[in-house]
Amino acid sequence: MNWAALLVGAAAGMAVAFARTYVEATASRQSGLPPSALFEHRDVLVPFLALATAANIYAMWLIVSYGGVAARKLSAFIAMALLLASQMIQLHIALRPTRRDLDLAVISCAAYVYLFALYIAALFLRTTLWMF
Amino acid sequence: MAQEAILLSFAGGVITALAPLIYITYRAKPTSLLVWAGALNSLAVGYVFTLLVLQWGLFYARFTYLLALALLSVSLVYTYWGMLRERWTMYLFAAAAWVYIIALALVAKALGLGDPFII
Repeated sequence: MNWAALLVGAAAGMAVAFARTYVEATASRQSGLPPSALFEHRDVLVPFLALATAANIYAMWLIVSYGGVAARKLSAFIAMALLLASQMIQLHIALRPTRRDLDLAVISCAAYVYLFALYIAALFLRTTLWMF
Repeated sequence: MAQEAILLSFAGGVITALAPLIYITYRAKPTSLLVWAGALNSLAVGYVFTLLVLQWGLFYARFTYLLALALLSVSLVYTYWGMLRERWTMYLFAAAAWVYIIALALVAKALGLGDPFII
């Protein structure tokens, strides 16, 4: 448990969610339509962006602090690259709202699927998390 | 340790400032000058509140410290009320916490004490 990573992650996630709502409000003012008519999945995407950015920052702290990067393990570097890609996709969702946002959000969850698969495999094989 | 406390306090301030802003922009209400002033105040209130909460182990038995925490929470509620309902009079009630904290700091400085929580 790291309160600094958790609080900084929550603050960053709320900043990303605020960016998304701000861009949505600007687009709705320019087009004259309500934001719910322009972006139909915004009720899912705004909380998703806040939670996912917080999760990315906390997971980055977990990866760096539990020895995977220090031991030069490929599995840790793959996790780091996937988290970075996930954060880039989520920033794209926040700053350029389109109709494909939900697909992009699902794609950006690849990092969490990878980390969860690694965790389950480590439990069953009784090894450490960074196995290759 | 001091730098981590400042980082945590700043994160707390950003969280308390962004929560009503996200609500207001999600509902596509106009963000007036009143709303931005309230966001600035809730940033400062969240910063000081987190900074004080981190000192819990030193001051948890002092009445003035607990009163400061309670007044800051009430001030945050009044700030949110003023932001969401567009009522600037709520900001007058929200200023009570700042009056109290500044008075504590001035008394501590006049008496030459090490910390502002006298009782």
